[in-house]
Amino acid sequence: MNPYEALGLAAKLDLDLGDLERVTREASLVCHPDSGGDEVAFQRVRQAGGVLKEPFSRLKAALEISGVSYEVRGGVPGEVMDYFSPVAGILKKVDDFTNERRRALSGLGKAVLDVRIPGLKMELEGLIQKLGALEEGMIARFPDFDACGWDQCGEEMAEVFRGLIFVSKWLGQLRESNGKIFEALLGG
Amino acid sequence: MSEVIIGIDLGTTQSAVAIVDSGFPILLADEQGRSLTPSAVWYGSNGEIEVGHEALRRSGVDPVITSVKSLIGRRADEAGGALLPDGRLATAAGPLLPEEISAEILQKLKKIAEDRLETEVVKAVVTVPAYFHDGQRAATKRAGELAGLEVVRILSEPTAAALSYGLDRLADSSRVAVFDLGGGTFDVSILEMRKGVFEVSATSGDTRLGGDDFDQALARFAAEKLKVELEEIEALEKVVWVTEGRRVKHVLSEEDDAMFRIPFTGEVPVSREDFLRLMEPFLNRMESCSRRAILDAGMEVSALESVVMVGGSSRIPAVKERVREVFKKEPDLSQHPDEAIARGAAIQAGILAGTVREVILLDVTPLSLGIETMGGLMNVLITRNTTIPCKAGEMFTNAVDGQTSMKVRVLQGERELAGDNWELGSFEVPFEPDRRGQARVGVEFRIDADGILSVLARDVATGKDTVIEVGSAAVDVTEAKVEQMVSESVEFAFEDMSARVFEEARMKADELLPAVEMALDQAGALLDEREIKEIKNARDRVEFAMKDRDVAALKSAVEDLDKATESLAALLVQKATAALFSSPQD
Repeated sequence: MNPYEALGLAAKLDLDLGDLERVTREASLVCHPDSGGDEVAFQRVRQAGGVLKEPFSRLKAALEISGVSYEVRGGVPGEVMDYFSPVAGILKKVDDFTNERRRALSGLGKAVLDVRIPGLKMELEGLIQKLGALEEGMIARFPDFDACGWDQCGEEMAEVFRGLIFVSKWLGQLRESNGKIFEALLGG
Repeated sequence: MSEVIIGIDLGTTQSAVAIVDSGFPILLADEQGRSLTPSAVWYGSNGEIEVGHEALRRSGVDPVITSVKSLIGRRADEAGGALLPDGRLATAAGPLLPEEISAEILQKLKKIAEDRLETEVVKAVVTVPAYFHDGQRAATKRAGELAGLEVVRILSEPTAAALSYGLDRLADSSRVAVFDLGGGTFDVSILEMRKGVFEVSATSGDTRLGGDDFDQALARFAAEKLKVELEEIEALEKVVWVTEGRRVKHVLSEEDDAMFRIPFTGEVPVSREDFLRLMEPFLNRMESCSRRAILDAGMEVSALESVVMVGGSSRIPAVKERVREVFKKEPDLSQHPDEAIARGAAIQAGILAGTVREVILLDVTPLSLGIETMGGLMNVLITRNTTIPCKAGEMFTNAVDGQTSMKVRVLQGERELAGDNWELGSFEVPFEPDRRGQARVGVEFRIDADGILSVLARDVATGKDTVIEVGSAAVDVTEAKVEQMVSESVEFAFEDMSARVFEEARMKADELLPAVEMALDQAGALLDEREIKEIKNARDRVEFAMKDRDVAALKSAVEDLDKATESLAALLVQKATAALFSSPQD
């Protein structure tokens, strides 16, 4: 599926998210089964909107549309690889915390574990911020790719794409991890 | 004239029915002019049935079934002893499924609508808590069918409230949170409303948290003061305590003090502060769910234009105060707390009937859907907060030559371990006999606009489609087998009761003793002398009983220590969570 075609949008990486949202909303309104639309068309619109919303999946769609052959498992920018162990480290710390808290038998036993929360939160948020800035930097190259032409800049796009996959995945995991702390509290 | 579709709010404590009349949603009242019907059902031993106000009139004399919504779509092991092993509820009319009881309420509402509208009604939109899982939604739909209603849509309650709120603000673009605290369930949803499109961004909640819990907490509080064992008194009398708890709760929403009175037993003064203390754990859970929803929606509270409060329990001052704190704004109380959901259901009914135009609702699935992997983990196929209707596919293949089927367990929930999630059921993927790894069957999981799952298998080689029944996990165990399991576990329990009790108490003591030292170190200064003395006393008794290996003494000492450290634990959590929830941008 070409998500740009599905939504009737010009094929650009440098996409105005407000435009995307408006177009997706209008198309959803028309296609929704409750307003006489067709469920398959509705799901197509939602899926296209979802693909274009996330920078990494938009870049992936662009690579596919342009027909450039690229390695999914090729080189990744060094600045991205530096985050591999800090991310894994904090994710493990949060998992340990939530597991221990779930196993705790008494209110006080849980409470003494909760003392770790501020530290965990600080570490999580610090990383989220840094990775967010890194992601921003990569997205900032999108207009260049549009100007250069997708089939011309395929190699560079592929490298940014491989970096973005990691960064997006990590950001998702870190945010989920943040949520797990709430869930642990909820479970108590 | 277009067909009539009614909107029904099937609540835990009360229900209502509404329709859209000339573009406006209105509630339909019974012949006495009452537009709210208590969700109460009474069964006589000769087949008589009374519903609503008439049923409630029997309470205190006869058992009256209330809050059946808290049991609908649940399995016996999830119901805390309220259901028989086969998932039925014991009534004067014999064992009945919760949905059969809910059907009586729906039938009553159908009748009210038919009397008001003077026409037959066969279609309805019925609301459920947003956080209801597939089983609870499907059971609610069946309840409708049993009542002679085609349920054309299962609608989430906070979304319904948002429709009611947003109907006269269609030109606006705004982001709102809906905070819905009912009699038995709690939901919080974040929505974007733009030019008639109501799009849910995230939803969270707790299907076991509501006004009923506060009534019970008040009853327990009074019972403790009056030295009455609430768990040991007769069910009919317990109702009196809980009903008095509800009355006191209502008084405390208006006044600073109330008197909890039980005839021939005594009275207990209850202040707003007492009530606030009892509410604290519930308020914390509401706060956690709210934060989770905000986080999932990927926005800051400052991006929300308003927070709309609905549900009867949103009248409680402490709840409003917490909402103000979490959302950092005055709550919007413009919607009638007991009526907004029924009105919203009527609006959705109007959309489906074609009488309400230019409005469309994009709701989400509240829980992630997945399947169990070989290693006992949950493999998520559809993540929570995905717009419905939606679908996802998964490819299955045979692991050995000639394998003809493979069992797949379907799960809903957010936990990594499959066993920690709610099991929706399981099904067999059929394979054409072939060599290992050759058979390929694609399975499509589809969640419809009601939030209910259907499964379709497509054999890649033959192109053959099979609609798959997802068997409820409850029917896996026959009644006889359940009884056997229960009796076996009872026998087993008697055998090594004292060893197990000691072991459990010891584990808890092992956890508490070091925790007490650490907690006193960190927050002891905030406690008064009496509390510290109480904690140290209990701790010494625990240590003594451990040395003595005295089972009974250890069990009671550990319980006392657990209780004595409650406020210490709360202080620690408060310290920790205060840091969790304050961030620079707030």
